[in-house]
Amino acid sequence: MKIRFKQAYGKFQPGWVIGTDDAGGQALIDIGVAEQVPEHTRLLKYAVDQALSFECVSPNAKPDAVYSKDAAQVEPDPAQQIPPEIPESQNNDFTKFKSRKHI
Amino acid sequence: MATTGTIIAKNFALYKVGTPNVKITCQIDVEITMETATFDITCKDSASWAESRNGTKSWSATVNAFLAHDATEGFSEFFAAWVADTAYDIVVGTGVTGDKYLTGTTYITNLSQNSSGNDAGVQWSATLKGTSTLSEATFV
Repeated sequence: MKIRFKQAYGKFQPGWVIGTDDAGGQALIDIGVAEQVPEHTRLLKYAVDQALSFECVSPNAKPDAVYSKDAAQVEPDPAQQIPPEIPESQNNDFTKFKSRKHI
Repeated sequence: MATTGTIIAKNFALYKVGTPNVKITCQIDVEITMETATFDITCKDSASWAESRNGTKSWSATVNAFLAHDATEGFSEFFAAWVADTAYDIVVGTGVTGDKYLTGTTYITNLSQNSSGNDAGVQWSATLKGTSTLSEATFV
């Protein structure tokens, strides 16, 4: 049986989900400390208002998708941005010009 | 209601003994092994047949699971018990009232994490060396 704690009980905090034996789980439900949750609930330390997770991370999950989502939330650092390329006709870099001449 | 017929593997798991017992999060494999050491008593009167007697009994359990840092009972709890050499009492069974289970006290003697390849969940595993008696009882 899987139960979710509604209030703190020993080391268990409200929101946490554990798997336990039928008798142990039922005892906690009976005293109002916990409530039963579906058998496919993941056994995690959820926050009180956090939705339960019902699926295991598949070995074939798409890490690229997760990466893209995270990347979209990060503002680019202006200092790290690559400056746009300057057309050769507008390039006033004299050092570069001299260097080419010597070649 | 007690399980009838063959126990299905997904229902058979390792729990930490407590109030309540707590199932290890996201287990993949669980194994508990029992053995008896033997000592040789073969002598010149044994008529060419080896003879032995049973000696010390021992047992251990292994578990491996997917790694989740927010597991309610997972690697971090095992790591803490391993570092502190804390006894880790276990139950192996279904948790279903009326079903039998094995229980005893262990110490964690091996612990590892394994990130294999790229597209896979990270796993961890532990060996729990039993100390003293391994008992069979029934979930009530």
